[in-house]
Amino acid sequence: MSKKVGPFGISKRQYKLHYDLHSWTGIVAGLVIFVVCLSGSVAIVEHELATWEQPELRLEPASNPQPIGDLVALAMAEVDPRARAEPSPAPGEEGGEEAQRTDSRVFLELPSESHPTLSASFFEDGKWHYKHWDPANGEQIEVGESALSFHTGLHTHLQLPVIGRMLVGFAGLFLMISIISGVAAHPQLVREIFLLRWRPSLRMSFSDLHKQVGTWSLLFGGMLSFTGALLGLFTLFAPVMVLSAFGGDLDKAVEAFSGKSQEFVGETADMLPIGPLVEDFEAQHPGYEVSRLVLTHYGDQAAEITLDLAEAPQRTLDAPESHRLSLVTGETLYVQTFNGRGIGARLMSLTSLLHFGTFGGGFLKLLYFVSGLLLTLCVGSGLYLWLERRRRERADLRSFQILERLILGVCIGQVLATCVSIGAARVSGLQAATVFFAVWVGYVALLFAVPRLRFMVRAGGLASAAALGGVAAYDLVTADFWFARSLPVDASLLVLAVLLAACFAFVPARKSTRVSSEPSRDLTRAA
Amino acid sequence: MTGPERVLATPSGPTDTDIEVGWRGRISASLIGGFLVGVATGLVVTLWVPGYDGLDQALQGGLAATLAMPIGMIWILFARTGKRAWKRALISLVSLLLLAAAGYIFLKP
Repeated sequence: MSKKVGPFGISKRQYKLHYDLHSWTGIVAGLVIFVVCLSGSVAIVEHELATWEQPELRLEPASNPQPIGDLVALAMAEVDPRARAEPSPAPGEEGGEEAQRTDSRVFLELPSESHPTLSASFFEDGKWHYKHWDPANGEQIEVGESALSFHTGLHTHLQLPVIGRMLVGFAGLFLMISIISGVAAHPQLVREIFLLRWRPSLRMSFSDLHKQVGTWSLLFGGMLSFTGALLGLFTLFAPVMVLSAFGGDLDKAVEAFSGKSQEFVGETADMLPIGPLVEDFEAQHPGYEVSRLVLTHYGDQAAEITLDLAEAPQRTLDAPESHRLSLVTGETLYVQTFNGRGIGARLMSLTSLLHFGTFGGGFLKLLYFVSGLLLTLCVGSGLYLWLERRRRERADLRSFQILERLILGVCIGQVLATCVSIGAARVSGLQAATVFFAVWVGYVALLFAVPRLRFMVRAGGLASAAALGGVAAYDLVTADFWFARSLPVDASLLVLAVLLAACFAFVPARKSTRVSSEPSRDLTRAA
Repeated sequence: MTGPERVLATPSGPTDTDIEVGWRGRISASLIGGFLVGVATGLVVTLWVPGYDGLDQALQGGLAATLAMPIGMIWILFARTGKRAWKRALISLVSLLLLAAAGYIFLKP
């Protein structure tokens, strides 16, 4: 009978199995997981940092704002040609096909304390457009492209078409497998819960750091990977499940999910006043506020308005509700709610709330941000350990050198590209995507071109810290009346910059001597 | 050293030993087979586990599929050889086809 190992009492063979599995998932998906984790940490605070990133949106709360209805009419006249008083093209006529496309849908975020402008987003010419208006005078505000939105896109679909979302789902799946196998492959989990050795070697420090960060962020990481895998892979499984649940009837399935949509008619009609509609709705749902409006076929006989209701502020795990009404007759067309609809719907709504951390206010978001960074550190340190374990035997092999530079380039390059793209967008309004990919690819190329790897690693880290600290200092100097509100963000960025600089100034200078943390040694101790 | 590590760290790509170990086969089989196991489990839950309505059943199925997929992947990945891994993936495919047929025969509208 084989000997049992660790607090979980697993056999040596099972231990080896989990260790292999942990290693395998890291090799196959480690880099994608790293990219997803780091971009996710940025994406989680996208909404909170919108006004920090785009200083044009920093407005004093309007004492006498224009009525919501007037603002929405103004916004719709700007963003959707069909909102104007001109006759709309009928289906089949020139422009009719375009009028029927879903890009006639406009998303409107109403002004609030944290988001002082009226903002509209719509999809046109193959990309999303964002526009903002001052609620005090209805003037449009010109802003540069948001770097945070770009990082959100990187997190949700790796800036790729349909397959990107599935890849992210797979990354979540691999992270989930990696976490479970990592716990099982760590027999000293409880005993070493506070163990962090800095002195003996860099590899030992990283090994301890990997275990500590992994252990302390275990629940958070497990939850994020599971919910992320669900959100990402649901698109993969959904068509099969939905079609089988509705006996292959696609129309019925679509209707069950999003209600029956009205078809574009091509005849103009008078729109109901939106201001009183929103006020009436909030009065009917005490404790809730209309957070977002979605206007479809605005100005047409088939015009619809969707009101997204959320707790004000959201403090529970109750799913937000969506009510869709005809904007011509006021008739309710569809109510989407996951509350009280069975375990499948409830779990799905919980999945979104838990993954995006939208149920606990600013402090919870900060906690998610820090935990996300820790998870990124855990993945990065795991990749580094994998490299270090092979360095002694394979340092001279060309394949190892390529792999090493690729892994370091992708990881540190992403950190650098993230810091620089956010800084560049904030300071000069440069397009985040261009800056990000230029820096990322450039850094990887430099790692291959410059033989001094240690110097390049340190330079990459210090440059990231400089970019982060620089943009925080720039914002502090130019913050003006918004100073008190942007101070926490700038202070957090400065702390991050100092930590980053300290790590990269100190860590690569240390020698990476070979130490024993092979599974066999752990096994011996445990046994 | 595990199979995939050896494949990645070998200067001239996978060696005969790696192919014998069958890691490449196992990885491919586990991805394909894992997906099939996920779909099969999702179908069982969607078709035969009662829910609030069709939407709820579909969501239950989707959740079950996502949970079953990693289990299926691990089951196939730890087959002793690549050939056995493909056999397990084939078992998943056959199970899925049988389930789909059963669902079509007994539950067709």
